[in-house]
Amino acid sequence: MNQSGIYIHFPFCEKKCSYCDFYSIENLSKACIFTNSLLSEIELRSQRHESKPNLSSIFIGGGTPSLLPPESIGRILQSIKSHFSFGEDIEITIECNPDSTLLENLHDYRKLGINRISLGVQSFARDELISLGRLHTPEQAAAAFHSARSAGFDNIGIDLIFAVPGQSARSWSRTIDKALELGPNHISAYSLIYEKGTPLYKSLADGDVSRVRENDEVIYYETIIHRLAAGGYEHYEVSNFALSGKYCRHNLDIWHGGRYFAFGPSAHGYIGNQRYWNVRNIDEYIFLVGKGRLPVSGCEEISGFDCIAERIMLGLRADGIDPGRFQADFGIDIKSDIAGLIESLAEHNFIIPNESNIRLSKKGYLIADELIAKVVLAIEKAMN
Amino acid sequence: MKQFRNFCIIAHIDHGKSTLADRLLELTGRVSKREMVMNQILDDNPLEQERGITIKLHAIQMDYAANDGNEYTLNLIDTPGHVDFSYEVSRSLAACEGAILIVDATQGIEAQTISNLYMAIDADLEIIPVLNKIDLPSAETTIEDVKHQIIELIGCNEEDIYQISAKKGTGIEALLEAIVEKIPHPKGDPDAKLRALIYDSIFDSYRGVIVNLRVFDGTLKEGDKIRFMATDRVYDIDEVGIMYMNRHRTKELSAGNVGYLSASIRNLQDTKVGDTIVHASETGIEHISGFTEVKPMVFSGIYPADSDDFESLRESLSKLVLNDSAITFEPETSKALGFGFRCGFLGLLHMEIVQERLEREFGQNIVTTVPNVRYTVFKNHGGPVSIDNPAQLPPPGEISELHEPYIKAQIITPTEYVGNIMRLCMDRRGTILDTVYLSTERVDLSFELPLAEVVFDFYDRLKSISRGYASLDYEISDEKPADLVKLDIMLNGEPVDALSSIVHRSKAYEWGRKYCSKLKELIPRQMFEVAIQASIGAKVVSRTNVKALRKNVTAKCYGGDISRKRKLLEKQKKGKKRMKQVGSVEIPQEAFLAILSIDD
Repeated sequence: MNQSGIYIHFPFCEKKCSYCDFYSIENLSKACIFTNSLLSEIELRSQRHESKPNLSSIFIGGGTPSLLPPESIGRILQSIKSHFSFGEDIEITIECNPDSTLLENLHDYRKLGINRISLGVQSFARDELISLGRLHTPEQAAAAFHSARSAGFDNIGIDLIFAVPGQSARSWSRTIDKALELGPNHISAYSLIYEKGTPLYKSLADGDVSRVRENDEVIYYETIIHRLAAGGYEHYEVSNFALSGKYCRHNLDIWHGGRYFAFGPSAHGYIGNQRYWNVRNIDEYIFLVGKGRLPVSGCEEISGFDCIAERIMLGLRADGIDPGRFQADFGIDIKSDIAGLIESLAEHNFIIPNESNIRLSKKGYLIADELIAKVVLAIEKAMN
Repeated sequence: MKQFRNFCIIAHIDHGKSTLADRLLELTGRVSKREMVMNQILDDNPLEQERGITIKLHAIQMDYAANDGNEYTLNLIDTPGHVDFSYEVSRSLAACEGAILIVDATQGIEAQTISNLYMAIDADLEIIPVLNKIDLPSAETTIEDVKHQIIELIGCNEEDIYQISAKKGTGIEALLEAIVEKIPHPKGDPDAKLRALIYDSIFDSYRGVIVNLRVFDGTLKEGDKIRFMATDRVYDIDEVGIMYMNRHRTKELSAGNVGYLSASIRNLQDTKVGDTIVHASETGIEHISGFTEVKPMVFSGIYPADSDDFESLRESLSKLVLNDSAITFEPETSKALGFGFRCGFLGLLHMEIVQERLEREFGQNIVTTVPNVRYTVFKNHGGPVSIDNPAQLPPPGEISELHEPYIKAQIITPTEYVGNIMRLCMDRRGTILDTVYLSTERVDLSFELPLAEVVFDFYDRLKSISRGYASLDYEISDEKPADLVKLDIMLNGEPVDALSSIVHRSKAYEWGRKYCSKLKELIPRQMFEVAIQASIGAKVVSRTNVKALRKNVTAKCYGGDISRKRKLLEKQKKGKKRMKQVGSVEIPQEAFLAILSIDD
């Protein structure tokens, strides 16, 4: 697997959502100069590679990349194409917000080679969308989805959020109904996290909103797991579900320890054995790239046990650890080194072990953090 | 010898001992004002500073030109300030001829002060009573009462009491004059055969053991061959000197003086506090009276949190014993915790200090088990045996009688808390022995109590029910038979030996219940339900459970930010490392001491 991915961060939104802690700004006037800087960054980064790295995926995220004019996207993809080589069945995703998804743009995306749409639906309950600070309505979300289908996209994913303040079991269930009715190829279901620095966090601190009770959160999570399983979706990562193998390849590669380039402010990449992240400020980004410097803000070398811990963490969160590959990569025979733990976890139905894979069960996903810490500690101990 | 004055300061915590010492050092020119910025020079161990108590002893020599025109040499010998260390106090008192009794003019006398004062009076020391903090406005209303307490206690006249403010420096000169005038100079014969008292010893990584001593008779010189009488160990002296702010070599020390010696001594156990030093060639010399071996009173298991660290823990304990000879330790095994050590301490505070030092100074990650006292078991067959671990208790059928140690406790309290304190002591199986009114507002209560009952958070309870006003001192009295049972704890059906305790039968049920609910509070929810049971023999007296963890997953969209995710994992891992895995259950370290906070 010598292919890499590319993540592009488009840091603009018409309006920031109350819960979001990704980097984006609401002032769109710098979008044009940003595009030029992004092209320069791709250029700068590419000078460091002798040959053209082979790509298996490109993910255009943000922010709200559907605000970007298709011709700008075209220029970006063109630039990537001149510095990288595209794998045969490369997956190219763009994130779209229902309120800025235009049919003509969708047609253009197709022409540019984009073959996957990730639609930020979040909820089909009007009041929940308002409390999340989303600009769209449930109807707009459905319309955007249909537009994408009619433009010919056969790989569409939608994002949903549960444990939203004011959410009830019934409204969550209705959102799931609606989602299943649309029949996207992929569903991501995240639980709402109150991140420091977000307006939502402040509302919580001020007592304007209250957290969903832990017990309800568990029920919502279990509900979506069961409903989507019944609908034929495969649960292949803590928060991700796919119909007939339509996994998000870009993310799956990341979770399998694959390498990816990152472009745009605050974007995170993993090249060689280094994880790096770009500056989280548009002006600084533009300035640095303008000076001919990579806009990297920090990096860390992943080696030794960190590498092993990441592989276990990401693998168990996703579709499992391949013991053969694990042994080849790290020289650790996971099945015999922590046989006792694996056996007891399997006995209690937390994991599903078989010859070529050790993965979490439905029950296991619910306490994934606990299990991962246990497994990582056990491996660490076995190594000493 | 006539110019020497050896004295100590007796005071309750916060009554101003260290501040007064600082002023004396400053006034005699031993320390400059600038150095005083590093306030309170005597307590130089960070743990001592934090807890406001003195653990290791110091002595400082000062020169003072008195009003009579003569130069005097003053040796201030420090004393520890906690009941766990009362033997050490008695030995440093034995090195003095006088004691300054400091009482906070706003607070009055506390139990610790009284018991140390009695020790000083027993040792025939000249007592100089001092009222401190007279500058505080609140002293105005209390000062007469406190004066009265002092007069009652030592039978002095009102004009014998010195009034000072150590903080402001008021009255210090007069006090220095009093030290010279009132405290008798040491008696002894510099030409007689050597007799010196060890009042403390510390371990120095470069020179080995440094022995702090007081010469009673004869002269101690560098190069002398000496013998420690109790341990019968012989050494050649490398260095002799006195203590200023640091060690100051004098090559010899003669009768009446206080100083130190070093002799490449590798083992602190050879230099027991209270022992007598003589010249190796001399025999038949009388021991300086008052020597006793310090015996540990409280025992607990200390285990490495990670069983791989057993050897490294042994090494740390061995090093710790080098400068705290009161600790005892020997290897033991627990089914639940694996290999560890049974350690003996002078008291609970001493145990906490050792625990903290192991963690802070030696970086050990340890699990400490429930402390207990030493019991004597009389068996149906065979002689009596001592046990210091509940796991060693034979089955009830084999025991004819079980004895436990008792203490005589002295509690001094404002009268309003007498009811609370009586209830606490009765609840702890105590008997009241005596009630003495020190004044209309303060009472001196004497109780007889089982030591085991005092070990379990008695002191904290006492403080909390008296709003911090009551003070405690105690001494071991004797052993008495008692109806005791072993309370076992089972987790998921498996007995956890490290959680067992020995309790009085009348309390076993209540304890079992409280213990279970405390454990329920402390043991975090985990993958499986954890059943907690308390039992006496085969009989389960209480049960509860910790429900299984339902959800512990971060279902968040991270993008490609794996570093952040990994940091969260690190945090989780760290939390887990603080736990001890017993069977399938993860037990946090605090849970092993849960029984200490059972009444919270």
